[in-house]
Amino acid sequence: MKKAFEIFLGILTAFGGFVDIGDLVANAETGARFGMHLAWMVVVGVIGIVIYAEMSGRVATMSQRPVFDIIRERLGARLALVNLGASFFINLLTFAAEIGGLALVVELVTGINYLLWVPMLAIGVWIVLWKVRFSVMEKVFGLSGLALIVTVLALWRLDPGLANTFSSAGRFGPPAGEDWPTYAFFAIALLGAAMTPYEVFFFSSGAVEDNWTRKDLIVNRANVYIGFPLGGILSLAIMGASAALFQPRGVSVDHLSQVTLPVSASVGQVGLVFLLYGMFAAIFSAALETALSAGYTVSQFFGWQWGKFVRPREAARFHVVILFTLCVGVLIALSTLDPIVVTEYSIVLSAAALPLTYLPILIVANDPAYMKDKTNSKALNAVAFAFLLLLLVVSIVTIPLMIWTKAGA
Amino acid sequence: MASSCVAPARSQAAYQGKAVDTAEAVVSAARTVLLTARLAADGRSFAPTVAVTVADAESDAASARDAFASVQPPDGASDAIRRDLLPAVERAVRVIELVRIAARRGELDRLPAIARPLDAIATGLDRFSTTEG
Amino acid sequence: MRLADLIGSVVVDANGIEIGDVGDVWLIQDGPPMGVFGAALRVDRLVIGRFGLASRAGYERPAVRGPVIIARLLRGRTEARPVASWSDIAAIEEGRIRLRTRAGDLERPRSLEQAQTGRRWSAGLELLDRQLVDPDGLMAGKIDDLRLELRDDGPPVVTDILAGPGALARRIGGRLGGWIASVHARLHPGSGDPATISFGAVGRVDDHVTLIVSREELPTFAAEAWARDRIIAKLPGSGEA
Repeated sequence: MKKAFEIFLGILTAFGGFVDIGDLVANAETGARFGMHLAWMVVVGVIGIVIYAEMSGRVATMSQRPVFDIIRERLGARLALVNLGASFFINLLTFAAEIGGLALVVELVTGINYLLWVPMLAIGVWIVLWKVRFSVMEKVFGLSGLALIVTVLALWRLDPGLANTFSSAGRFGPPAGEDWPTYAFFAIALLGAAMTPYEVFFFSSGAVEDNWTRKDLIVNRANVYIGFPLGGILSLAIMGASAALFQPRGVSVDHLSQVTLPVSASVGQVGLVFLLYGMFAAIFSAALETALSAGYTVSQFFGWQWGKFVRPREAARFHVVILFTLCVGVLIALSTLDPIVVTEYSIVLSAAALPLTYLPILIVANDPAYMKDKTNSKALNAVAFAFLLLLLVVSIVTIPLMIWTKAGA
Repeated sequence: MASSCVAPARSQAAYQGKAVDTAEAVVSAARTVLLTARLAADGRSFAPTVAVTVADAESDAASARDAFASVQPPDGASDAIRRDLLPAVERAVRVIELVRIAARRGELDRLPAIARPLDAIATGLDRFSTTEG
Repeated sequence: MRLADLIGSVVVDANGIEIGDVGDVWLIQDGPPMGVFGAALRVDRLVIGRFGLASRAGYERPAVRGPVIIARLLRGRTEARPVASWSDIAAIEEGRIRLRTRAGDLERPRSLEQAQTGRRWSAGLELLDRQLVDPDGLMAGKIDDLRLELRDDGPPVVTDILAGPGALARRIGGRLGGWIASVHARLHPGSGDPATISFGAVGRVDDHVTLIVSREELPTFAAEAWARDRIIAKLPGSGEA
């Protein structure tokens, strides 16, 4: 009974914690411009993150070693250092996007300019990281993110029966007035938003933080296989609601404020309260995860003590890296670079860097020396490998496409 | 994704392209404001949220206007395009400013009335985009 | 001498032909006794050929089978690389190792086979980049490099573990490594050497290295202690989990 409850809670936490500023921005922008013609990409992205998050959780549980630790062993010092550099930079950018997004949500509630909120929110993030226990932190923010379910209600009200939504979702290719390169670019952005690298680092380190043993593998599987797809439904709802309200009117989404309109229009003030609360919780949770990921990756590469499972004084350098990330993230957010633009760059660069992260995981997940009897099945290997090929293609075309389409302008 | 890079237009086709982009951006801002004004008056949103939304739309419209106004028309045909587009864009920006002022004052029920001209302006700009685009 | 000096060096045979780079070094545990670990490790063989993703990924071991396509692609590259023993070496120069044997006369074992006199270890697969853990279970860095002491009566013996950026810089190599080394030198003025942990401090080696010495007594702890005392300890609540 207790196990069932634990699984249930884990699923809800994964569900509510799935969306972050990248998903909010990517799905809302895409819905307004392309209707549901890119809904399939969200599905692809969710499948990808499900496969690799489960794998990284299993790797960490069976080997008791988190991902970046193993990346160095498997790629060698030089390649792993390059990997670390790229991952750290993208992580930093993602954190800056999350803290900027968080400040935008508070601006929407208070009307006071977002820049003033950035430092305060960063301090809030740090206090939670410093003081709150890992499992409590995960659950509180994850479950609060469930408030975003209001977007499903909004979509239902805007398009009752979802007839238009589904028919649009069945179409492949850019709608009238848009071209293939931009379509492809937005597809890559959606992929990067769903398959964020920090998720994998956080998830695998979390398995060690939460002290998972092989008995917990089923919790891992349930969280990921059920919770993440449910989170994916929220992404699709955001896309659909945005499409229903904005696409017929020729409105393009460039601000977080516009993301509130579909919910306001269809559910009113009560819905808006849920939406803002849910956005705040989901983005706050993502800010925590990216900050921790920065600490995890650097510490795990160099072999420093890491984790919230020891006292801060016993993992000093780990916490210094987190402080550094918070400070630089705040500076980037305060640089008056539009947080939406920072978000766009972070998700696109994330997509480009995915093979670096995922290849070592796939290889280690097949190694009985780490996995004991829980290596990948042939079927899983086939799908995971196909994904890796896709990610490799994405990686190669991302930067040229970004230049060609002027970042989707 | 908004682009604020303004390169010069060297041909009429390029200028036309910029004009259409500007028209589309201003339509987007105008319709956002129309939607928001309606929601505000219906009590479906909150004053701070409305104010931020309108201010964001205003900054989009204003920067689209500034970018377009600063581009040198390369030839006579482009002059005509400029003459057709710029006044409508300016009108839209002015109306949106008025909506923003009222929104920041919390006068939410007045917003639809103040924003009403945007409907016709947006339709006109849509027509412009279709003929020039 | 350091292991990083051997790995990556170009190997030239008796006829002056370049055979390849040293990709890995096999060590044999048959040296003088070294504390709890047992006999010390001595250099046994230099494995020539790039130690690429294939070996690192473990495809030398038949147990690693999947994913099938990657395995097929990479397994072929790990087979039958030439291997030179210490006695085959004529001279070690900067970045180059000259052999007194010809390329064709070198052994080409299928994989690392165990020997009679002591256990064989692959430095690249089993020792380098391994996590160091102290007796309290706290992490203490990684094996970034190994120091080798040349002996008159045979192959060099592994005497110390080198850890920290000073050691890592040489393994990274190239301009990046040089930059790391200069930053490290600037932060630790005076000492030219990277932080050294005697191999006698090693208790056991499996998927990580367990030391018998608390990490606070290691020279690599200096940076952690500095971060703790200068920054973390100043923040309230740093002593609670």
